[in-house]
Amino acid sequence: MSCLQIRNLTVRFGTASGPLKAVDCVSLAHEKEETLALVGETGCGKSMLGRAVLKLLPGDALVSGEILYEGRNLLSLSEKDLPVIRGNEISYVLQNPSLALDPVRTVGKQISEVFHIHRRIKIKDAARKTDLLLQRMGFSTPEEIASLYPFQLSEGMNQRILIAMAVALHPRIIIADEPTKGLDERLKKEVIGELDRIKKEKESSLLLISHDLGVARKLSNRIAIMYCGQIVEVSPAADFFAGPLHPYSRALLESHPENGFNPVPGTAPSMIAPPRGCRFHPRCGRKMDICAEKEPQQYRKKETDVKCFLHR
Amino acid sequence: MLSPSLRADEVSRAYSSGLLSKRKKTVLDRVSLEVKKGETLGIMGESGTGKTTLGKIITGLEAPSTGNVFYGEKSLSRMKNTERKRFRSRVQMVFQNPEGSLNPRKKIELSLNQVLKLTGTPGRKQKEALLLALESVGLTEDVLYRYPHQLSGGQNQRVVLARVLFLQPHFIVLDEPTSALDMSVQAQILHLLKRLQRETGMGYVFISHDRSVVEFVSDRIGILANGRLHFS
Amino acid sequence: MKALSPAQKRISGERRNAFLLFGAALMAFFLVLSLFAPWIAPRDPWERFEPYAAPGKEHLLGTNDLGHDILSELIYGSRVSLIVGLGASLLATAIGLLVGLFSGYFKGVPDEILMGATDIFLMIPRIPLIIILAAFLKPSFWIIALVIGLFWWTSIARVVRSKTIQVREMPFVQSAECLGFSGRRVIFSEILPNILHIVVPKFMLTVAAAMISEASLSFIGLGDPSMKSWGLMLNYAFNRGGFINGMWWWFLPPGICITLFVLSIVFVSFAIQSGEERQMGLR
Repeated sequence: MSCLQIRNLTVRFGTASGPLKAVDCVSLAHEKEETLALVGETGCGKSMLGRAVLKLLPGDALVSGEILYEGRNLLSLSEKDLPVIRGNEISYVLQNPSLALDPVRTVGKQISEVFHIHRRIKIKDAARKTDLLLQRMGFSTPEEIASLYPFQLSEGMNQRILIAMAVALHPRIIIADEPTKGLDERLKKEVIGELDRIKKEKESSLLLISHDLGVARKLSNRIAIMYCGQIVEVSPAADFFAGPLHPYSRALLESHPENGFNPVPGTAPSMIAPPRGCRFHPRCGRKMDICAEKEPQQYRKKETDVKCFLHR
Repeated sequence: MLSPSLRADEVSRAYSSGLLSKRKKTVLDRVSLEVKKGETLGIMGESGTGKTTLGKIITGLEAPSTGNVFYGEKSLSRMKNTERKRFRSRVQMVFQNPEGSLNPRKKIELSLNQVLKLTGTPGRKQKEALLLALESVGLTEDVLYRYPHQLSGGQNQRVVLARVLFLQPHFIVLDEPTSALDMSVQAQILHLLKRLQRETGMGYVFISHDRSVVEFVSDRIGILANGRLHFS
Repeated sequence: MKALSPAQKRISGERRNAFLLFGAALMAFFLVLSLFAPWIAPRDPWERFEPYAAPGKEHLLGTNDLGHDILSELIYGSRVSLIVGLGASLLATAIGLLVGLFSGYFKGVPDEILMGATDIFLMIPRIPLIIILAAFLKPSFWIIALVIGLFWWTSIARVVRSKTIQVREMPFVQSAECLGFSGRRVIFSEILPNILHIVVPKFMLTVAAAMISEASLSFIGLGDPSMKSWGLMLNYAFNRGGFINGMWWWFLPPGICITLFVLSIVFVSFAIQSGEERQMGLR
């Protein structure tokens, strides 16, 4: 049963050189208690997709389509109703923890604020809940940590604070946007472990947005690959890593360290004037004539949906 | 004559906190290393272990508290101005944040031209040299007319490399050059670096926290921990 | 994270544009007045007519105690305000920029020396010094501009220095040093363009402050009596019977002009600064 259903979502911007479709008619279903990884290179539109769910897009974005959560279309909710959902039922973990936290307030206050605002819990009780939460997040001295400011904590700790804020209210869905970007091995492991533990404990669904298939592999049940604003493959994790179907998915996998750092040939296409037909065809080693002419639809191969003529 | 090697000899760097306090924070403790042309020395360590400081000391951007950096037989601290200048062009550094490495107020063409002028290339040959440089790092001409924030991380890093290459360095110290890039773009840049090394015979000091990356590019690896550098 | 609706974004842009337009229009108005004063003013401001005349057909704003046409005085007065304001500000900004840039870039001993000098200048009480100087030197508006400029550079120097220190640590500056650019080159080619957005508004505000300083000095009698200035007009209006006799056409216009000119500058500098901030924030 899906808790989040994205239908024909398009996010468009007007630029000086023409309209830019960051997300182009994307349909995706996120099941209850699953971890869905949305993987793609920087600029493919995956962050925009994540932000669209909570209507956190830049002011000049034009959105069309539906995002259904428990039967309601999130896109049609007013600014009054949205804050109830944000943080409470669907929470968002941002990139760049040190920038996402308020530098002039202690981390304890920032976490307590989440309790106070959403659940109208009194400040004193909220402080207690904060300490408990920090303890569960693995901080051995929660009171001390709560009294510190973000600049006094390391990047990894701040990332854990952000995650703590996101899960404080037991949301149904956690959207994590590049939670491991720029972190070193050790921190990456920590954050991955954190997210893993949380989704098991809280029974939340996790929508993981990342460029790193390695991280996706450790956490997710299903993988969705995004290229140039479109989803080109959605597959159960096990099937995916055994052998991805879409040539881009394959190339992406090949470029990862475990597989030898083989670069994806060519360069990323322009989102303003994407290639005709299949958007990946100029870089594809297995392209056919039809690939340059018509855009492939989604074909079903066992449990995988793939947008490629090879699997017609 | 053998081309000079880049060597650090018992380099230490300590910071004292406060004017009168005796407390000293030792970031680097008697670190020694040597790189020859054509080879890649990898330096691994977690964030905040002083890797960047080491890189800056080797490039001469920062002075060590004790110890010396040698280029060939000459110690950095003993070099005269003209020798220093030549050292500058022979040993270059590439930083982690590609977009931050380029002046945000200048178009790429200007950023590149200013360095090109340093090499004394005559005016009429400048455009040609620019285009050649772009080609060697896999970029197209349209990049020239944009600002750094309009380019992707990978493109910016390539511009940074093109700029550094104008000086025809013998050594490049790369401080986490791919950490801010996507996995797939990282692969491209790593291959570019390898190709450039094959073509020019440069030596690299490759600093990173990412084990798989360091192992992929390096001939030898040193691990920086607690201020000390250990070679396996 | 708050998502601004398209309408909200447009309003802030519109409001900013309103400031810019209004301010720029006013500024342009005064600039034209000062540049083309001889052609715009109805009379020679030094020509004597019947004194203390009320506004009428002959003299739209009446005449002062010496019979000078007030409207012409007003128009010519814009010149002094502009010259002193611009002159003082240019001097202050030039000194402040140089001090701040060198201090912030080279740190160490030069920094200590320059900041020490700044502190000394900050400690000197300005108005008393100006009064003393005015007592010993002939009070010409060049002296006033010089003195104001020599004291206002300190606040610019401080702001420039802290921004320089910030920008200095950025990778592209380190890269420039690494590539072999000289210190001077790095300061003017790499750092300066990245602090201009802070300096320009400060420059404009200094123009405004200098104008008010000049008007104040002229008002208390330290001004240059050989030039027509708004402050001096106010001085005469108050000291020669204009105020007591309720001659609003004499003391109100100069005050309003000072206010409007300064306001126009503030508006434009505000618009520039918020425009820069938006550009940096949106990215």
